[in-house]
Amino acid sequence: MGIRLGTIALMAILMTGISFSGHTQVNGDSLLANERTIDRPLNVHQGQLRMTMEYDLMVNSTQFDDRGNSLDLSEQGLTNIGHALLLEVNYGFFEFLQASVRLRHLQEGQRERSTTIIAPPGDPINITQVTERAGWSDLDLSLGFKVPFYTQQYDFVFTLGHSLPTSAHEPGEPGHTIENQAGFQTITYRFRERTGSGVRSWLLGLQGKIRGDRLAFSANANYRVYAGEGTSIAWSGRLNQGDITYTHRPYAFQLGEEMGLQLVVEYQVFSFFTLFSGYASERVSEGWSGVTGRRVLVPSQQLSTVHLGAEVLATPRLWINQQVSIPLSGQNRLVPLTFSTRILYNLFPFQ
Amino acid sequence: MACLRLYILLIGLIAFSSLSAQVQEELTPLALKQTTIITEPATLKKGFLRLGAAFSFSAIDKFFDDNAEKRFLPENVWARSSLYILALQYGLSDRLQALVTIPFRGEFVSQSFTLEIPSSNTMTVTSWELSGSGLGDMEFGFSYQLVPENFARRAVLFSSFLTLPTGRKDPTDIVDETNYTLPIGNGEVIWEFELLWRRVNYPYFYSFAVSYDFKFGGNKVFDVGEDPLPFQSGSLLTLNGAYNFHLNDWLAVQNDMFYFSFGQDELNGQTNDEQRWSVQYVPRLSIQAKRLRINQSVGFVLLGRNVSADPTYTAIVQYIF
Repeated sequence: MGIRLGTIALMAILMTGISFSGHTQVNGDSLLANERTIDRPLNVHQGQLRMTMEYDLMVNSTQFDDRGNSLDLSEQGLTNIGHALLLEVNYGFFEFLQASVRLRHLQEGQRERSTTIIAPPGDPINITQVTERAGWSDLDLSLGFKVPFYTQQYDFVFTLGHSLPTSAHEPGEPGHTIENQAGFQTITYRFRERTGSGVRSWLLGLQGKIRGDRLAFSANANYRVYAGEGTSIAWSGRLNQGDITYTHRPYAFQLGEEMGLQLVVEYQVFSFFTLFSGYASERVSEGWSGVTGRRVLVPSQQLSTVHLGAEVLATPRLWINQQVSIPLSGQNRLVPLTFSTRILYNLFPFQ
Repeated sequence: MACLRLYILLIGLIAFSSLSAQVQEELTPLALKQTTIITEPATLKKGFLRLGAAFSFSAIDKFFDDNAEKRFLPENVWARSSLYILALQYGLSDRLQALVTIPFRGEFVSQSFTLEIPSSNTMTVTSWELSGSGLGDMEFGFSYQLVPENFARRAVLFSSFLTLPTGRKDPTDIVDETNYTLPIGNGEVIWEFELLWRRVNYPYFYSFAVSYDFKFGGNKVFDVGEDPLPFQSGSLLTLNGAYNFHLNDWLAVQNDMFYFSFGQDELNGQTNDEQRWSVQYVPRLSIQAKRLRINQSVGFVLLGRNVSADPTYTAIVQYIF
C-alpha cells in the first residue's frame, strides 16, 4: 500500500514536472509580450526573474492624533520630506511557487518646534531639534504559493515569509552644535534613529485577483507578527561645563502586530497602458516600550489611504509604474502624501 | 580595372548617400512634428510652433553645508516653491528657433516657535505663514545651429537667453515682519549664453553643453521694513552632459548630469565669499503620443556646497503645431 502511494506520488511529481517544463518551453519574452498588466499572474512565471526598484517621495505634512484628528504640520513649519527606496527581487521556481527578497531604505528628518528661552541675565537660548531616520529595513524573505497553477480569470496567492533583523536598529549617538550669534545662544540637537526593527518577524499574506476583458480587481491582506521582545539603547545628554556628554542605557520593547489590506481596481486602457486605483489600510496594534525606565504602552496606529496611478509597458521586459497615495484617515501617525515611481525589469535568466 | 572598381565604389557611395538624403528629405511635416525628444531636429523647422506648459515643485528640507555635508535643516521652517511655465518655441528658419517663457510662481513659507519665560512662568506658541504668487521673471531667447545638423545627425547649437525682472522683487502688503506677501522675482537682468554639441545615433542621443549666466544686479528689499539695497548675484557656470535613449518608439529616457558653479554674490558693496557649487543628476521620462509630448523628471542634488539638497519634480506637456 505504501509502495503504491509512493508510486502515485512520484508519478504526480513527474507529471507536474513535465507539465511545468512543457510550459517553460514558451519563450519568456514572447510570454511577457503577450501579457497585459491585468492578465499578469500574481506570482512571476516559472523561471522568471523580476527586479523591482521603487522610489517614494513623501511629503510628511499631516499628523493624526489618538482621536483621529488631523494636524496640518505645514501650518507650523514642521513638514518634512522623506525619501524611500524599495528593492525587491522575485524568482519563479514553478508557476505556483515564487521566492521574494525585499529591502527598503528610508531617509527623513523630523523637526520639532524651536523653543526660545528668555532667562536674564544670560543671553536668550534658542533650542532646535531634528530627529533623523535613515537606514535599511530588515530583510524580508518570502515564498508565494499560487492556485490555480496556470492563471485563467482568477488566481490566489498564499505568502509565508520571515524577516531577518539584518539592519542596524540601535540609534546612533546624538550630536549637537552650540552657536553664539546675534545675542542668541542656539543649541541644535540631532538624534539619529535607525530603521531596522531588531526583532525577527513572521509574515503571512493572502492575495486574490479576478480579471475580465479590460478590468481586474485584486485584494491583498497581510499580517506581520514579531517573534519576541527586542532590546535597544536610549541616549541621554547631560550639560557638563558648557558641553553636552551623552550616555546610553539598554531597554526592552515589544513591537505591535501589523495588519494591512489593499483593494485595487485596474483598467486596461491600451495593451501597453493601465490605469489603477485602490484603497489601503494599515494597522499596528499596541506594543510597549521601556525607554522611560518603565514599561509604557505604545498606542496602536492606523492609516487609510487611496491611491491612483498608471503603468506603462515600455518593453515586454521593462514596466514603469507611477502612483500618488493620498491619506484619508489615521490614528497616532505621521502621514505622508506619497509620489511613487516603480521600475520593474523582467528576464528569464536560465532559458 | 582598378579605376573601374573605384568608379563603381564611388557611384555606389554617392547613390547610398543620396538615398539617405532622400530618406531625410522624405519626412513629411506631420512626421517631423511627431518626432521624439531623441529623433527631433536640433531646432524646430521653419514655421513650426511648439506650445509647452510646465509644472515644477520643490521644497526646502535639506542642504549641503560649508563642508559639503548633507544635513537636515534644523529650524522648523517649511518652504515650498511651485512654478508654472508657459513656453513658446517657434522655428524662424530651419536653423533658428525663438523661445519665450512666461512663468507664474507660487511661494509658501511657514514657521513657528515656542517662547518660554521662566521668570514669569509663561510659555507661548507663535506660528505664521507667508505666501506670494504671480508673474515671475520672463525669458526670451533663441537657439541657432552654428554647425547645422548633418546626415550623421551631429549639430552644434548656440543659444542665448535674456531673463527680465518682470516678477515682483520686493515684499508687499507689509503689516509686520510675520505678515506680508513674499516677492516672486529675482529683481535682476540675467543674460545666458550656451554652446551645445549633440549627436543622434538612433536609438541613442548624446550631448554636451556649457553655459554662462551673467547677472547684472539691481536694488531690492532684503529685510522687511528696511530700504532697498544694491545687490548682484554671482554669475553661474553650468556644464551639462546628457545620455538619452529610446525604450521603444514612443518612450525615451533622458539622463542629464549638471555641474553648477556659482560666483560670489554682492550685497550693499560687500562680497559674500561663500563657495557654492553643486552636482545634479536629472533622470527624465519622455512620452511621445503623435504631436503631444509629456516629460517628467526629478532633479537630485548629489553633491554640493552651500546649496539646497532637495529634489525638484518637473512635468512638461508640449504640443507642436
